[in-house]
Amino acid sequence: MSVKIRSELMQIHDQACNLGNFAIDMLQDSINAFEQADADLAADVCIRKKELKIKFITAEESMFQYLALYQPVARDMREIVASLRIIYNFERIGRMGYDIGETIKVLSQCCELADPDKLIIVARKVLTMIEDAMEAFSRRDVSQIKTMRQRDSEIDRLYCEVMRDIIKRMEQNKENVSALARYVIIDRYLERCGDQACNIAEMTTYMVTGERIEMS
Amino acid sequence: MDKDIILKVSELDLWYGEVHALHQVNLPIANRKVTSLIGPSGCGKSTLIRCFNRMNDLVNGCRISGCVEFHGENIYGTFADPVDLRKKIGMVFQKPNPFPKTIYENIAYGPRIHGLKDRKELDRIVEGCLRKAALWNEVKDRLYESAMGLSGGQQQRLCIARTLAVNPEIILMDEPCSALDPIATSKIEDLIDELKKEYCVIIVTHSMSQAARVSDYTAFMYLGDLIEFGETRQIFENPRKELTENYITGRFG
Repeated sequence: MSVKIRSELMQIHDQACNLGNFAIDMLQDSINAFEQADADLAADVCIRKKELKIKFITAEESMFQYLALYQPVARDMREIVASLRIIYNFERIGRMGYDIGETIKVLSQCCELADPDKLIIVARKVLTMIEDAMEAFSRRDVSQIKTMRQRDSEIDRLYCEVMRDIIKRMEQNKENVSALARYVIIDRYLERCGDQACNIAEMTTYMVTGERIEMS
Repeated sequence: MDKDIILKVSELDLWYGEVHALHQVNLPIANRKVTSLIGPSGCGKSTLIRCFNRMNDLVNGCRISGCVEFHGENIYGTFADPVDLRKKIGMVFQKPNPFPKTIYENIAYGPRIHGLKDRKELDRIVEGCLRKAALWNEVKDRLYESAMGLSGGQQQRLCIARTLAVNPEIILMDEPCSALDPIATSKIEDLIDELKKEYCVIIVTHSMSQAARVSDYTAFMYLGDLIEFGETRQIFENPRKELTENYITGRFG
């Protein structure tokens, strides 16, 4: 029976990775849509929300069933418990992609985009953090996520810096307030995505090593 | 944990004739805690638990070196008395083995052979032990009926009550639930949880989930070696040895 149980655990891991990749694609495309002012791509991201939810619920159900049927211990228990938390983080990341997509759709209807470069820099850094956390989870290898805490601190610093910059621009240029107000929202979404990357890194570390460390 | 060690096993080796069954086992057993011994068949866990009240003395060709200290005194020392020791360290076996006597006599037997004759005192012991074994309410109206008429789970609790009657400090249990259904098993597990308030309990079990449920400390044995010992929650959440992890997650062999 242990062969069957292990094979189910591998399937669950694949399901979680599949959800993760799907969510990261949503976020990445929403950032691309923002950078290229592409409302169609933003709309495409928003359509994927339903599929994201289905993938999340399917993965979650498989994990609940695994717990109920096999009562795992040690590394199997850590893998399931960590994966349950991580798929929630993935779902949040996908939802942020959706939220950014929705914001871009509104932006494209009401105003001109005004110099989003600084936000794009934050977005790319956050995306790399999430991809590294995803890679660590997927390969069960924590070597790439050891500096996650420092990287998140940098994101927090950039978040504040961008926020200050946006406020300054709002004060100087009243016509752009409508767009810039939405930049504030996107800035906040990105900062939260950085936290999600840290959560994934924390749980992956627990899954692989059994150590509980705080990264955010 | 150090300050409340009731039993200390040091560098214990055991041979059955030419077969070297235990290798340099070191193990501290805490008082008023439950310690479980786990491991695959033939790993030496039953052999080890039988060392704790010198049951292996009865096996031909069995040799022991090393030390098992009970309250700091070596139970294999020159002046140690196995009969006296077995009063202090009682044992419950895999298969319930009540005497073919009444329920009352099963409990009263031990105190009687140790010289107690006072009927009122015997009544008090019988009731007290049956209560401690969570059996009193089920048998109080049929104390003078044969113990053989009890169910398997009740017989096992009667055997635990019988062990308690001679006022032990440690209760050894060698797979006490392996012949019982899940409901009887659950009652024994609840009982173990109660017993540890007054006694030290050492249990051999093949059930990983039972070890996880009932014990405070777990020792994993393999081929006569003690591979890992630690708090049960640590062993089942994050074992330090790969062999332990492979065994408890079913990746063995």
